[in-house]
Amino acid sequence: MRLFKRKSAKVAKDRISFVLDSDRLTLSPKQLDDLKKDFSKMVLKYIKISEDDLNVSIKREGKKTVIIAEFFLKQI
Amino acid sequence: MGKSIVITSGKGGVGKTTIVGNIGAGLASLGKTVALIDVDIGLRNLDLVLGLENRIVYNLMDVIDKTCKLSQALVKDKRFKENLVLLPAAQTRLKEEVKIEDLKWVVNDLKKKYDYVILDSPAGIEHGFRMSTLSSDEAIIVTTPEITAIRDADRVIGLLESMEIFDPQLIINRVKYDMVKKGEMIHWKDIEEILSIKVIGIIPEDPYITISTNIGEPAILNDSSIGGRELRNVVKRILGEDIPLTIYQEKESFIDKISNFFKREKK
Repeated sequence: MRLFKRKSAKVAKDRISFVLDSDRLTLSPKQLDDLKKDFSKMVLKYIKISEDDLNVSIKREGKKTVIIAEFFLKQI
Repeated sequence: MGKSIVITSGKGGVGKTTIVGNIGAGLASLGKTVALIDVDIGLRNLDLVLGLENRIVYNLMDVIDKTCKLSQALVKDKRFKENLVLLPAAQTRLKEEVKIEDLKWVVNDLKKKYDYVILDSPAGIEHGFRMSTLSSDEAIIVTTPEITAIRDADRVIGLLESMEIFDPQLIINRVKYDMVKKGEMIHWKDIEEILSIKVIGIIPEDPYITISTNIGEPAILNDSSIGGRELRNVVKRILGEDIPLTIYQEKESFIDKISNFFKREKK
């Protein structure tokens, strides 16, 4: 049972990362989710990809806030 | 001309005031001249951390109201000769009564005489925080490894930027190393990555901090305090020394050693 339980520090990291993305963009969690879905839909038009292969993060770089969308492609 | 640094956090109760008192005492013990300003008007506490509560005559508000001269309101900490002074907050007034310009001139006046002017910002992001920040050249943010404090720290970083204070530095307070090791407390590297900000101190949870506040003597002055030891490193980093970040680790007890030995054997 213990094996399948995620460590709480990992849960904390995921939760704070998500909430800061939504804070930094001043989007509600729902809107942030929709943004991520739309990103993958857009790419899906051209490339076969599942939603799990997409990582969207919002980072602060100096004075700018940057949206970074990473799509992990399968090796062809 | 000295430098003014605001110590702030957003969230309350993360240890700002304790850290201000310790950094002040640390800088003074290394021969720097330091003025500490308690900007938490109405909720004065820095005097207690330093053990100076019985020596207060005037406060920041008296200086602004011109009831006394600035030099009259400064409480000298006798442990450091003339090196450390405290400008106490008024206890029975409101933050909103202080104008940003008033605090600015007090800070600028002190910068002429002291190497470091350190402002203990009130919690929150309202007027008290704003005027402390706008009167400072640099900022140090204090957080704990709890996501509630981290979120507030992120908000503060954004607000500092909008007030044109760039590159604030971070102190992570109350770190329980054994919990980090077990994966039950967020790692300092993750906090650094999430906030994209330079960490200048990882302070371990230390029961001695309670004792030091009880007796009004900053933990940094006690060689056997583990929190004090890391705070001394923070002070050296503020002075520009390049000291690698360390995490305090409890020495393994005999029983731990045995149980760890058997754990390794199992693998």
